[in-house]
Amino acid sequence: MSIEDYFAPAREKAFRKDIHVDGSREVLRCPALVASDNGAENYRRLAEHLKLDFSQIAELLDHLPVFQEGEAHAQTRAEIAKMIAQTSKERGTVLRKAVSKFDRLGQTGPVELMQDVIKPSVDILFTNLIGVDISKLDISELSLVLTDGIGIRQRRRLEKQLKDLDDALRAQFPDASPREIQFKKTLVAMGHDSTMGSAALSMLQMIMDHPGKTFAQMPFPDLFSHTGVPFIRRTARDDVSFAEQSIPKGHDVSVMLNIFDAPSPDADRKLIFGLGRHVCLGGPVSMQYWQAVTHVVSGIDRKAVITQIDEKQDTLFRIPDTVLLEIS
Amino acid sequence: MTTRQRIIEALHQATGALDDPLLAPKLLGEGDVNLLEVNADSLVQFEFMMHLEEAFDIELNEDDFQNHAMLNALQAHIDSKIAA
Repeated sequence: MSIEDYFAPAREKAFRKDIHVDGSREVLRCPALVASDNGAENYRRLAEHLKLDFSQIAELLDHLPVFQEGEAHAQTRAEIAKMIAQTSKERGTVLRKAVSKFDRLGQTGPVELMQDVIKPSVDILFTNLIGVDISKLDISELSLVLTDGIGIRQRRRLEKQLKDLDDALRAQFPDASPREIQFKKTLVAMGHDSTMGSAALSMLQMIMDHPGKTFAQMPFPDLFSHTGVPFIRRTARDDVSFAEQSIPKGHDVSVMLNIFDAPSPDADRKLIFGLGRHVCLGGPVSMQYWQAVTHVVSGIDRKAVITQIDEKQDTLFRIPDTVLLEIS
Repeated sequence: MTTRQRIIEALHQATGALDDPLLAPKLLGEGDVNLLEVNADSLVQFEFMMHLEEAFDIELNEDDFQNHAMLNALQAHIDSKIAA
């Protein structure tokens, strides 16, 4: 049994019109593959046409480093890295509190892994990173900011969730610059659901690989075995070829990162966070988080049987919506 | 109003399709219509989607349109969403 039996193929998550390329060091480092268009202008045109407000979405897209290159990109990354570093002193305390949610797996009976365990746990981590209690906010659709195929109702809900987060941040940090506020939202939009997805998939695969074993008997790896971010998008600045795949200049490319999922060796697995100038800024924190999770779960002498898995729809991330476990 | 009539009304709101002398008879008849025949850019398609979402109190996405480009197919799809 594999998580692939329960989730849509990763390539179906990727943009249909893109050329799909398996990730590799060569592809991830390729200077001809640059950040793709951020879609903010499409949102502004749509807002004007429909007389709706999508300003929160457009502004966030303008601040996502994954869509930037050059000096602006370097400056954005430096500011976000500094923001993450400023929270590092409390990281140990925060991680202990966050992973204490996994103690729930030590109690017999049914448990819903996503809403009862992983979400409240990841909420604590991101509350520390941005300085606002996100467990009190509905952020369930923020990762949809990267999805271009969603309908108008979902876009309006996304706009509202971003506005509520924006209001909470401005109330908490009245002296913060607009860029600081945007970067805090960036951390949540890019990091929260992807961390939840990676943790959930890696946990599920471990349970599937070791039926009848207790958590304490499972050999949890130090790295996520599976990524919740199945691909990244790039645009070809020049004609470029990889193996037998030719990519014409100007074409969008979905670079598949799930190729680095287990059983790939650890050296390759790290590439789920990307490589080079666009390597994931939150990667080290999410690895610390996963290692703290596995430290706690490895001490639990209980067995888990998966009774239900439902995949979250529409988001580009690979993340379960519901995972029911029976603990004995 | 039937589901078909409400879809056509939403389409007309977004595109003015019933003002098209070639398209209007097809829409007002009982036959199937390829919605791709409607000359609409992506912004107008989003407006059509918005009107449909409001008319039927459902959520749609681009896949719903790509996978149900014919009027009868879209009608059946919307009926199934309403029933779900």
